[in-house]
Amino acid sequence: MNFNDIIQRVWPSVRKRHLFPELPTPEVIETGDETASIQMTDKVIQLNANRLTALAQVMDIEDATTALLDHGVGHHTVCPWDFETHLKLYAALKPVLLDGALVKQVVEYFSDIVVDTHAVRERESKLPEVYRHAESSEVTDVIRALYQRLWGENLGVEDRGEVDRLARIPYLDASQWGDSLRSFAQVIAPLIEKEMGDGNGQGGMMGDVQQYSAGELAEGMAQFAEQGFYAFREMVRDFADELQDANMMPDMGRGKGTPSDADLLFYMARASAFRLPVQTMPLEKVGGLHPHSHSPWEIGKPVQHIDVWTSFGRVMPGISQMWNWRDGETHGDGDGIPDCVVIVDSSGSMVDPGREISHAVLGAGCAADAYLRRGKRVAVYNFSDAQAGGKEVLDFSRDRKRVFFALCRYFGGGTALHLPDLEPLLKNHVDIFLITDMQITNLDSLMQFLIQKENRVTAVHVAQNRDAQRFRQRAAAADHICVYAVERTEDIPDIVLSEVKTRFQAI
Amino acid sequence: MQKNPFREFDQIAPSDLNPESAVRVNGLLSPKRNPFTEFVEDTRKKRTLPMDEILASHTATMDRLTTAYRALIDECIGEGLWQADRKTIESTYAVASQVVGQIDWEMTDIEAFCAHALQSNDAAFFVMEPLGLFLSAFCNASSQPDIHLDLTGHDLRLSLMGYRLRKDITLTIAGDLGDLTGISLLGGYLKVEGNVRHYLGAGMVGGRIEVSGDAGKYIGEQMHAGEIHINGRLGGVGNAEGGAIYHRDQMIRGKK
Repeated sequence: MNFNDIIQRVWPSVRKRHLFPELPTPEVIETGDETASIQMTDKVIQLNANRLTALAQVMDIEDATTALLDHGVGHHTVCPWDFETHLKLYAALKPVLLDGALVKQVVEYFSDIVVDTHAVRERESKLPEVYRHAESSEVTDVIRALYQRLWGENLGVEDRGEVDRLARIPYLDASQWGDSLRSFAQVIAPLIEKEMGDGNGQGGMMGDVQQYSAGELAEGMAQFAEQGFYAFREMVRDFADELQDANMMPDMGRGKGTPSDADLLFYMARASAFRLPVQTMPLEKVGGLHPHSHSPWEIGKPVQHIDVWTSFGRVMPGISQMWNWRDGETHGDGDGIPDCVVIVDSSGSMVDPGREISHAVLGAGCAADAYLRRGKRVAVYNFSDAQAGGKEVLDFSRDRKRVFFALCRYFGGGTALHLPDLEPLLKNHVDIFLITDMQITNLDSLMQFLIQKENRVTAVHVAQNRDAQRFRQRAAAADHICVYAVERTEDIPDIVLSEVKTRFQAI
Repeated sequence: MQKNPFREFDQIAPSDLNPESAVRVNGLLSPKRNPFTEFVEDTRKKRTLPMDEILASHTATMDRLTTAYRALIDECIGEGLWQADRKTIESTYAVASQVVGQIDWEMTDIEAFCAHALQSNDAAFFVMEPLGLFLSAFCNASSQPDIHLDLTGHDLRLSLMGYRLRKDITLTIAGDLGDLTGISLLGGYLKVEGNVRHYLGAGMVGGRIEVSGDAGKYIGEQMHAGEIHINGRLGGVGNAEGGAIYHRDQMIRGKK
């Protein structure tokens, strides 16, 4: 039996019933999760061949295929639809159940019910027939009993007491999904927990659906990062496998002061929310001509433009081909925006970005992001007691993960720069961002060093102290140094971004 | 100090999941909006499911119970304040029992009503204290010997649950409760799978209370008989006139 042929036959009608969602043609997979009937990878619905074969024994194979496709399409069009909604459902339940694995399974079962009920009610789906032949388990039987009650179809399962409470939940009302999910969890979570304890918990009746694209995951995470540092960290811990599969985890290794993947992702996601609009560079004429296309050569046209390779070695009107020449266009020689060096203080007096949200690191990340998005390179000098080895130096790079990894490292301890480290980074008039509390042991040397340079320097200091005062006074005489005193650390990202914006506009 | 990460999850309001609250940005749908919800003009015939009837019946029941609770509030409070003194509690409970006798209900409706009341923005539920008495009246009027209420997942703590719980009824409540839990217990068996606040079992005249979590101060204040068992921490015992209070396996008030 060729399942791919069946899919080709039924897919147009499935799309029509679901109002033509933009999904690629589904596939049949021979391997994969044996317990799952359906998977979704990069928006391609994948049906399990073993499951289809089993269903073919008990029902019409075309009906089985369309029913499974109804389920898969429903996850794309109805619930959860996108990763952001998925995370909101997760967040609605996480403070109640606490156990991330359990929360995810409850959310999967809930979204399955929404999708299936929607398909049966509004898309004339044959899903009841599939559930009539579903494998039995504690949770599946309760949900089949629920479907029996909700859909009014005999699915061959005994009625269950839990269904009285489950049947009252308005699954199709998206405005109540938060409350509905919590009510659903009160009944179903203990059953799932028991199954998980027995080693049988699999989550969802159809399989684990990895339906989100990398863009959707990034967008969802950026939105969720607004929730807060600790919530984000919990979320990354709970969705680590999914993010790993989607190649979203930074995975930068371990070592002293190394940020966790969750922290790194948080600062990357949060910084992307502060984005500056990127001005695209217009195409400009470069003055030269280049051979663009062919046209037949006619008498009177320049002979030197004949392309001998396509003219069969002859000079004959209508047969010989001549080149048409066009003006060359290019993005030009850049827009004059230099690369950027971010110098960030990670001494003991600064907030550890791995323990709570560090607005200094976030501000540094915003500045780095703004330059990276313009195609510029960013170098990082992260220091505490640099002379004693407490430093991370990243040479100019366009790799966002490496930049954030360098920014998020935390050393603690004393505060001193090793100026020879900075020297090679400050060539070619790069922009400099310095974020510190100014309690630097060799502050005078640093001031002298920066004043002698011609680079534009933005110094943001996060505390009012005598050293900061001294720095401001000395910097007042230097036009290329701009110092911002920050009362509230939350203001750092905005200050940094407005400074970056001013620089971009000035160019 | 390390913050409780779960506090941050509370910032998501259920309304955030409402597709109607999404906005258009630059002519495009914002990420919060599911574009497929726009296909509301689908004219194909939708199948009517028993689910529709169940939900309609549920909504009608909730409306009926809400109206009854509103009647209780109107009669016992009006425009004034409700204070948990003995006289007010007794008179409110008397009215609640009367109201309960006048409407159709099933015990399964009551738990759904609890969740509905704790989540609802209806002005009727702005005064929550008498709700415990209202629910207690349902429990005492029930013919079921075993009642289970799940109040987990709600920030609000109901007070006065288990008031006058009568003999032959076992009431199990999952979730945290407020003050005056199990007061004037009349021989029933109240099990709380969570924490309670002050005056647990005050004035009880018989029966048994078990609390799996912590209890506040004045436990068993003026209790006459019965047993109170607390497995978590306790804030302090009140002036009991009889009965026994146990902290885990140890009797801390009463005679063996």
